[in-house]
This record gives sequence, C-alpha cells and structure tokens, in this order.
Amino acid sequence: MNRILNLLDYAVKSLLRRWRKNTALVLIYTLVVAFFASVVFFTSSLKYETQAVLQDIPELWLQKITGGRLELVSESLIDSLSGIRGVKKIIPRIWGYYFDTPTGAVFTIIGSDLLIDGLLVANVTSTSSVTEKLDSTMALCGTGFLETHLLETGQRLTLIDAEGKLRGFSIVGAFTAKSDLLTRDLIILSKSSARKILGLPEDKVTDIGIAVWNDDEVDNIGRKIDRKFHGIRVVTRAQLLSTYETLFSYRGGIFIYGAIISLFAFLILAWDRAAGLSREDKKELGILKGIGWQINDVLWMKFWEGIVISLNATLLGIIIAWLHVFVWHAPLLKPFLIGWSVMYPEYQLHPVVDSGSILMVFLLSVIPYLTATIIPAWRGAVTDPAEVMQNG
Amino acid sequence: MRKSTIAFFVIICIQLCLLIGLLNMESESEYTNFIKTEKLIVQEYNLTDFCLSTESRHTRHISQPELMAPFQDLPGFHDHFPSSSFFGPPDTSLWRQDK
Repeated sequence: MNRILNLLDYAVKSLLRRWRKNTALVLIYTLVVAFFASVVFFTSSLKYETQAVLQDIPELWLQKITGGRLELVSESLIDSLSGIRGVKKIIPRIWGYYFDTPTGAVFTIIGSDLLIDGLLVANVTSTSSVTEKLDSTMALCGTGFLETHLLETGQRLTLIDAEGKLRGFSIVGAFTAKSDLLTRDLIILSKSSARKILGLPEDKVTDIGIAVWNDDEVDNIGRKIDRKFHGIRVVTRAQLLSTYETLFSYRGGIFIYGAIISLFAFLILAWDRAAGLSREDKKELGILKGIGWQINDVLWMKFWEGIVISLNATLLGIIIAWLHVFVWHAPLLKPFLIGWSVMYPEYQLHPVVDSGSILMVFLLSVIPYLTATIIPAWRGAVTDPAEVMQNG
Repeated sequence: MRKSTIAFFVIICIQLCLLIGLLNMESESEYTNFIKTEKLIVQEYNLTDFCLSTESRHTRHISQPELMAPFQDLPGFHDHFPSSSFFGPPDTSLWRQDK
C-alpha cells in the first residue's frame, strides 16, 4: 500500500513539474468530456420525460392519407370504429396550425371543450371565470402566444378565421412556463371556435385516437382497422414512443451527432498521447530505470498520472455538463434542436440521468485515455536505460 | 501520506461531493409531480407530441406528419436546418401494418 501511495505521490509531483502543459491538457480533456456528457444528459432527460408523459395516451391513432398527404377524417368513421370489438373509447381530435401574420410564428390550435376544471389541478394560472366548459369566446394559451403578443391572462386575443374574419377571444387561462415542452405554441379554443379558425367542416375531424381495453390486442385491432378501411394510416402508441426513443437514443438523432464530434475530439487527444513520448519523457524513464525502477513501477507511475488527469477531467467535465444542461438550460445544444423558427420553445430540462449514462461517460473517457498513456510508457520502459540516456 | 497525495484525494472528494449534490438537485417527489401535471395536460388535450421545435410540421409533431412532410415545404428542406438534421422523417418500416 505504501509503495502504491509513494508512486501516486511521485506521479502527482511529476505532473506538477509540468503544470502548464498538464493544465492545458486537463482543460481540453474537460471540455471534450463536458460536451459529450451534455449530449448524454440532454438526451436522457428528454427521453425519460417523453416516455413517462406519453405512456398513457390512447393506444392507436388513425389518420387519413390521400396521395401521401394527410386529409381530414370523416366523423362517420367514428361509428364504424366503435363497433370493433375491443375498442374502449374513440377520441376525435380537432387541431391544426395557425400562421400568425404579425409575428410570423406558427401556433398549434386545439379544439377542446371540457378543460378548465382539470387545468386548475394542472398548475395552470387562471382567472376567476372558472367553469367546466370552455365556451366559444374563451381561449387558453401557451407562453409562446402571450410573449410574442405581449398579452396576459384576462386580456383578449384576436385570430383570423378561415374566411378572413377577425374573431376575438378572452384569455381565461395560460399554461405556466414549466409545461413549455408540451404547451409553448398551443392555443386552446372551444371545438366550434377551433373549427371556424381552422376551416374544418362540421362533419370532419383532424384525426382519431382509439383507446382499447386490452394492451395485448393493440396490434390486432390496429391490423383489423387497417384492413377494414382504405386510405388510412394507423399509428400505435408503441410506434409513436419509438419515434422519440430513436430521436434521443444511441440509434440516431442528436445523440449520434454529439457522440461523433466528441469521440473525434477525444481520438485526436488520445492519438497525440499515444503517438510517442517526448525526449524529456524518455530521458526521465531512462533515469528511473537506471536508478533501479522496475518496468511495473514505471507503468504504475504512468497509470497514476493517467488516473489523476482523467479522473479530474472527467469529474469536472460531468459537473460542467450538468450545470450546462440543467442549470443554464443547454445554451450550446438547444439551438440545434430548436432550429431557426420564429418562436423558440424555452423548455427547462429536469435532471433525470441514470447511473448507466454516468458510467458510460466514465468508461468512454477514462479507459481510452489510460490506454493511450500506458502503452507508450510501456514502450519507453522496455528500452535500455543506457541507450536512452546516451541518445537523450 | 504526503501533502500532494492528500491534495489529490481532497480535490477528487470535493468534485464527487459537488456531483452528488447536483445529482440530488431536484427531489424525486418534485419530478413525480411535474410528470403527473404533464400527463394530465396530455390526457385533457389528447396531445401526442412535444414542442421541441416549431420550425416545421414534421419537427413540431414528429409522430404525426405525412411521410413526405419533410420534403413538402421546400425541396431538400434546407430551410429547416438545423432542426431537420436531428429529426428526419419517421422510420416508415415501423409504421407499416401487415395486411
């Protein structure tokens, strides 16, 4: 034990002798780890949130497709669908996009009547006009509309309907910024008002959600619906969740971009270390061997050097990544995902990271670096000390 | 044990403590309440997608658009860079139902 501590002490002193070079190394190493860990934390948090929140939505979603484009679904289909065995509930949806000319932003309009009572539970600010129904003069807004129009709850908003007429609504409630990830661009109107703004005929809906009794029957019912009706697409909840899983997991999307950039940066760093020892390093190893150090002593010393640098850089990198993603709200990553739209979702991520992700960051950071440090040290340690000192 | 070794262990311990502190920044009950609220909003409004980007239809509702949506707004959809680079069109092979 004493021998290991002495070697660790020598390694720390050896690093301190070249503190400028090693500080620069730790700094670059930390930044690489911080970037990679940021991507891991960012995607983990979004992945957990999407999977947890969407797990209770209806099991099947039905859309009508004509010529590859989405079409409105006829309401008459609802009766036909409810006759299928195993179907629990049919949920027709009225929703669409609204281009807001003054701001150039695109909002999502959703038609729903029975909402306010539930919303109060959902930590949403609301005025005193609490009713169970959203009537045709009321609207609920996400923070996006309020911020772009400098409005507050209680004030009026004006939208242009499909016939070009101006329609005014009283903002009876607004979602808090906490739920921005879901509600940033939403405007909730009563079903009849939403139809007028979106130009939806009375006998049409945008799409249909289908809840089924038995989870095991979801695929069967989906296939049955697909066979029975033509020109439709049935999306299961599992497929919907897998879309998000793919976006945020190792299989694709943002994770791969982040990982590739970080790994390239790390490979350059590791290659630089593995490319060979400097003349000074070789001389040092020669002297150590000359005064009686064994090969394994040299390797232990280099191992400790690697541990000191990689452990510090990795821990610091993880801390910086954590602050970057969960405290400063990922200013370096979010713009890539948000894009160049007019309205930027200002969602806050919640610190949910599994131990596996942290372990992965550690493994990908520490092990390659240690390998890149020890291999050249071993090469240097097996050379003849006299030869090294003469050439040095 | 010498001073330099003690300093190394102290630095590592400080970093570990800081990391553990950050890991427990938000309590589990806070997060559970937050998820409960979001679930309620999703159920009340029948939402299927997250507002990650409002840049285009296929990035705003990534599970809902027509399969050619990424290419409808402009050929090559380069007006939606960079969000489209991350979202991409959905994997259609997963969506096909066996007839």
